[in-house]
Amino acid sequence: MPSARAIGTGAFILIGLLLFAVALFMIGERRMLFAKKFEVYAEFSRLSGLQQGAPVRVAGMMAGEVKDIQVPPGPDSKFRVRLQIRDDLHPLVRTDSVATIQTEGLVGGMFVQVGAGTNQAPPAPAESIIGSREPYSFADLLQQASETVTKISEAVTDLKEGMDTALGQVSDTVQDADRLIKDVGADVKQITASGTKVAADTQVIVEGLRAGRGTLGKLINDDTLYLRAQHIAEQAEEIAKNVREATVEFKDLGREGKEAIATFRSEQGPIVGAAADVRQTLKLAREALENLADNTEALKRNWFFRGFFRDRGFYDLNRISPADYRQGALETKTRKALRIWLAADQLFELSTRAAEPALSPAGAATVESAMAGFLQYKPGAILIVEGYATSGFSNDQYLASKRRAQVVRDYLVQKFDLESRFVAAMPLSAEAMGRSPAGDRWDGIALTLYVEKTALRAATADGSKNR
Amino acid sequence: MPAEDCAVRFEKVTKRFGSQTVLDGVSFEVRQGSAFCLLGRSGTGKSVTLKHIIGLMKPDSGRVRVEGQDVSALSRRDLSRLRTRMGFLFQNAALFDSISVGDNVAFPIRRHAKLAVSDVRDRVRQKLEEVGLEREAGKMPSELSGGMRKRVGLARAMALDPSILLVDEPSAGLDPITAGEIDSLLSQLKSNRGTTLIIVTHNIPSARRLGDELAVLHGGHLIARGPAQELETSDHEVVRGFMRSEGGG
Amino acid sequence: MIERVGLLVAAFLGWIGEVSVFGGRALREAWRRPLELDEVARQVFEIGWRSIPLIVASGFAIGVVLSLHTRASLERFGAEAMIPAGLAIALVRETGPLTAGLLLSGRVGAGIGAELGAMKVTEQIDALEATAVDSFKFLAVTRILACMIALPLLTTVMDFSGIVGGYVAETAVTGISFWLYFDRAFSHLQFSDFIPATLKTVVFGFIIGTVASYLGFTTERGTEGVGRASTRSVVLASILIIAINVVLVKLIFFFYPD
Ligand SMILES: Nc1ncnc2c1ncn2[C@@H]1O[C@H](COP(=O)(O)OP(=O)(O)OP(=O)(O)O)[C@@H](O)[C@H]1O
Ligand SMILES: [Mg+2]
Repeated sequence: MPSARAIGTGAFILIGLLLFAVALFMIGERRMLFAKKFEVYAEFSRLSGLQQGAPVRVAGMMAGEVKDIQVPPGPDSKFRVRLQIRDDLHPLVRTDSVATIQTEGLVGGMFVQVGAGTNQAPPAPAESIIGSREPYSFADLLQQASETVTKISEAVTDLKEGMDTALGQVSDTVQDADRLIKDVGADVKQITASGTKVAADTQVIVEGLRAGRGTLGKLINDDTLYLRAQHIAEQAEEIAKNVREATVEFKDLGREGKEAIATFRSEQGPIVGAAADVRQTLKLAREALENLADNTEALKRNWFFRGFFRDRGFYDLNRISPADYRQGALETKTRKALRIWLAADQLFELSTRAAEPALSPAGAATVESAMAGFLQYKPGAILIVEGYATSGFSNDQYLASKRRAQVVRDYLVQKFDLESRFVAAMPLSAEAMGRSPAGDRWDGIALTLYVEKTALRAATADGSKNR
Repeated sequence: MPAEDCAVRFEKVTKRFGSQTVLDGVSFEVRQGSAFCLLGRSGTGKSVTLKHIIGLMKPDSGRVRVEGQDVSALSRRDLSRLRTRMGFLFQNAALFDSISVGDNVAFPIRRHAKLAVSDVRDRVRQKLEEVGLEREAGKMPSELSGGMRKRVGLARAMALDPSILLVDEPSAGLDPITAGEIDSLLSQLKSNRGTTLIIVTHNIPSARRLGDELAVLHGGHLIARGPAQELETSDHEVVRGFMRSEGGG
Repeated sequence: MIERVGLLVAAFLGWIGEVSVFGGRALREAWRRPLELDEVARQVFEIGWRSIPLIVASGFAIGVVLSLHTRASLERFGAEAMIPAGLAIALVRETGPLTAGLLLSGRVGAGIGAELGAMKVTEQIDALEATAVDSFKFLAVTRILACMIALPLLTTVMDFSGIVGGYVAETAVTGISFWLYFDRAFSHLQFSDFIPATLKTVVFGFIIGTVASYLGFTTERGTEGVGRASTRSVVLASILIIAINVVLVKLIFFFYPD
């Protein structure tokens, strides 16, 4: 019978070594030291910081690691990344599997994601090269879309000029020309408007990203967002191509002269030939651009961006829709809304109340004294002049509320020399935000200041000290 | 006396601690199989002398020879081998207080004698019996009285049946009966096994009985050396004072 | 004043030099026969096994606290899933080895210092020598080796208790299952996190054993000296561990740049 001491010594050493071995095994398991493995290659022209030893996931499952990265011989070839993958996941790695470089979580490192392929494609043989998608930078992608859209707008303007010239050459068809100009012109105008909007929206996102962290993990990881952005970029390219073709066609048309234009007219039936093609193209382009504008709008309003810009205290105030505003686009946990209700009859000249509201001298004084209480929190705080109007139908209410808010906003900006970026007019029709003195509805405006609670506290403390 | 007959031989040994000279050119020799009693007043350097013999202290000058070998010139291994032939009873016993009495006695046996476990046990029992402590084998040193510790220390010193036994006040703190038993144990060792004994003691009757030769250390010198009768007639006052006294440990 | 400081520095340097010689001698003597394996095993028992309750309890508490801290910081980034891995990395790379080292220098360093100091003043060390035992090998080398063997094992035990502590803290908040937590804890660990950090405690063990043995062997002036040897060995071993850790961490980064 060995002594208790000998047993203790043995137990201690065994427990220690066992735990040591367990740790080694748990770590080794990650490194797949003890499993059968196979290797495939993926090629990328940008690595985004991917390193040797980075994890590889197949369809999201921990599958192996990056064994080796071969540096390309020249700028026009790609990095070749050797991926070591657990053999039991081989059935998922098909010839149509796509490898992407992704970020692990918001703060994590880079890893290679290999998508599961389809049953139709055979399993990727070991040592083969599987497809890959370049690591993307959101900003780049959107920048590209934005540039394409600008090109579209330019092309459309070109087209419009070309068309005017062409039509001007055929003075005997003035009537037709007018009709055409009107028809096509409407499309062109719409296209330009949508183009501007897309360009502006993408610019807001791109600037936000550039000012922020460029490639934010969460954002870049969200494949649907990426796909959406990619879709936008593709759409833009497609439209650009069509519009370019249409421009060329139209210029040809102008060169061909009168006879060709004549076919453009066709009093009896539908417009045929080249002219019909152009019209069709423009119509499609208009629709596509409108669609695109919706998409970029949606992207911009996506939860992440909203959260992102809101967190950074930056929001393009003029781009907040009344609906979003009512949803609480400007509200955060740390921010408090201070609202002062001012009735319309105290503010505006009676005679001009509806159509072109103007501040009465008494109204100006009312606004000023209301604003005086807010001035201690400015600058930095966001001031929204909410407009309300109760008379007429909803469109009347909207317009009137918009004008009222605008007048008061402009007055405040000018009077108090406010930074216009932080002051916006918000047409809210009749329904009050929160409870007004009149209940659910309000006629007039409400000055609403969004102020950080910390600033509020500091100001209160200051005030009591001064007293 | 020829060197090879000497178990221990001091040649002009001088030992200093700082400015204090404890041994000042001390010379003597101890014949093999004889008993040498070292007397002297407290603090004169008796324990220091013993420690020189076993190599725990090295002389500042002079030489200590044990069985003809210069102790301070020995290699570690040779010193070890020499030490296994010596037993040392420390003045304070110096028992290993983290192990039991039995293990204390067994310690040198286990380390140096290649014996089976049961033989070790038998030897330990025998040594403890010789000092009358066979019942205390399981106790820890801290559970013993001062005299008992001393006896365990003696049992440990004898454990390897050394040919030279150095004992520092073996009967200090013991009752006269037990002290007598220890004396007879030592004299048996000498007569039966031919063990050389070097005994530091204050107990003059015991020194008379045991010692073939007595020596008195005083002021760094051996002021007298010889059989008991010779010392009684010494003209040195300190020596005579010693020999007249009766008590002591 | 400056002279006093100079003297202090000189004394300290001299001390470091002597301890280094002592430690170097221990490393050399460790290979010489007799190997004193029985005594090494006995000391592993005293130093290792007896420290397990302390190590497990401290590791557990540290795991709980680290988990709360990791949660507080990672929650902000929405990276809750990283909490086990973050805790494990902190624990395995630094907290475990260093804390285990400091705890052992407290428990064992004081013990060795006091034990050897007492043996010295009661002449037990001389008694060992008199029984033809190399006291340096028998007392110092065995303890130094035992510390070097026990500490990496204790560190591993501490790492695991810390992970269990982290699990308990985490499951109280999220109800996460043990195996998922365990799996996640190891998900970002690499050999280069675990092996060098754990093996560096061999050096800590060497320091603890050497400093404590040296102070024990050089104890003078009776019981007071014993107390001093014991406290000094804790203080000096801890300081040396913390200082050498800086060098070791740097060295590990040099060999395993991450
Ligand atoms: N390690 C040491 N360091 C310094 N001085 C020492 C040392 N050992 C002994 N001494 C001194 O040497 C002298 C002799 O000491 P020793 O122990 O040999 O006396 P002793 O003759 O055995 O006395 P006692 O009969 O009281 O035991 C004493 O003055 C003591 O102070
Ligand atoms: Mg003495």
